[in-house]
Amino acid sequence: MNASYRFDGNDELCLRFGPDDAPRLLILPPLFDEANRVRHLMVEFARLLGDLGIASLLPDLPGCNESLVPLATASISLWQAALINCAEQLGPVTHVASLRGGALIDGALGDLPRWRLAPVKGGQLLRTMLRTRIASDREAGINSSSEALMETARTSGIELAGNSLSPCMVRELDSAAPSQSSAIRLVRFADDPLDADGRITGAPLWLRAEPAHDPAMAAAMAQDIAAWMRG
Amino acid sequence: MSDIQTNGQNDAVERVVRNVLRDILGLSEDQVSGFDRDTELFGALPELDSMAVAGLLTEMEDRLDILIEDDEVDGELFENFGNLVDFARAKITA
Repeated sequence: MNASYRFDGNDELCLRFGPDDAPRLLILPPLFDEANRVRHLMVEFARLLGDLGIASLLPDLPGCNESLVPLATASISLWQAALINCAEQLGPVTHVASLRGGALIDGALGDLPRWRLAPVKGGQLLRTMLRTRIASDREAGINSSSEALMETARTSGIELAGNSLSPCMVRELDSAAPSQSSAIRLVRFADDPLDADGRITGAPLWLRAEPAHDPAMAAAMAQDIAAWMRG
Repeated sequence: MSDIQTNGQNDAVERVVRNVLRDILGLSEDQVSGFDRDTELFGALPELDSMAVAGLLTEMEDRLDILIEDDEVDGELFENFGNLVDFARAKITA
């Protein structure tokens, strides 16, 4: 089940699930802290997909999870390059599924059919991280602002909520938005007022102050994806 | 039951603020339904740390389509549920 792919001179962990001879789904978790809060959900839903006969890959992005590469060397474009290598070595990948910020890099493999749960713009992720920085600065008696922090971040990089972000990452993240494609299934929660192609019951576990798991939501995700992949 | 005075569209604002707190703090529907104006937030809910507050503000912006400036965020805003709802309503009508 544990595999790895080679990228930029390093081995990056990639979990593999399901039958070897089935179409392969590339799964992209949320980014930064949000990924840590849904690790359990991601693994569980990939396992359930395997039970439904769908093979999947759940790769570590360089600088994230078990990766030995410092996050400060990563960027949105570097992550996309890593996904291309991952798909070449462990694919072929036929479909892509992402949660939240994962949608910012789901176009890496070209115009494959894509499933997205509650996609988010990069600027929103950056804004939340900037806010935690402003709050901790305040506690230390430093008066900082989003504008001033971003100005420094764009040229020299910045440490936000424990994440070392390079100037390149800051600039790319600030302007990153989920890409357009005709082959997207957009899924949201039942109580989300925004438009969607499908609805599932569950909760945005990536927001939780304390990590939690929701087996029913993992099952709902797996079933929706399996039905979508089978067309 | 909530003591918060509500009417028309404002009901929706209060509902959104309740849902954001539910989602961030992992509270049940019953727990957030029990929130009234005086329900204390910061200091009373241990999960509501500065990281959670940051997420809460961004979610409120996203779900209410508002923009919250750095200098509008202070301790008073999170003192109780009533303050947070009043703030959200004021931003919407602004």
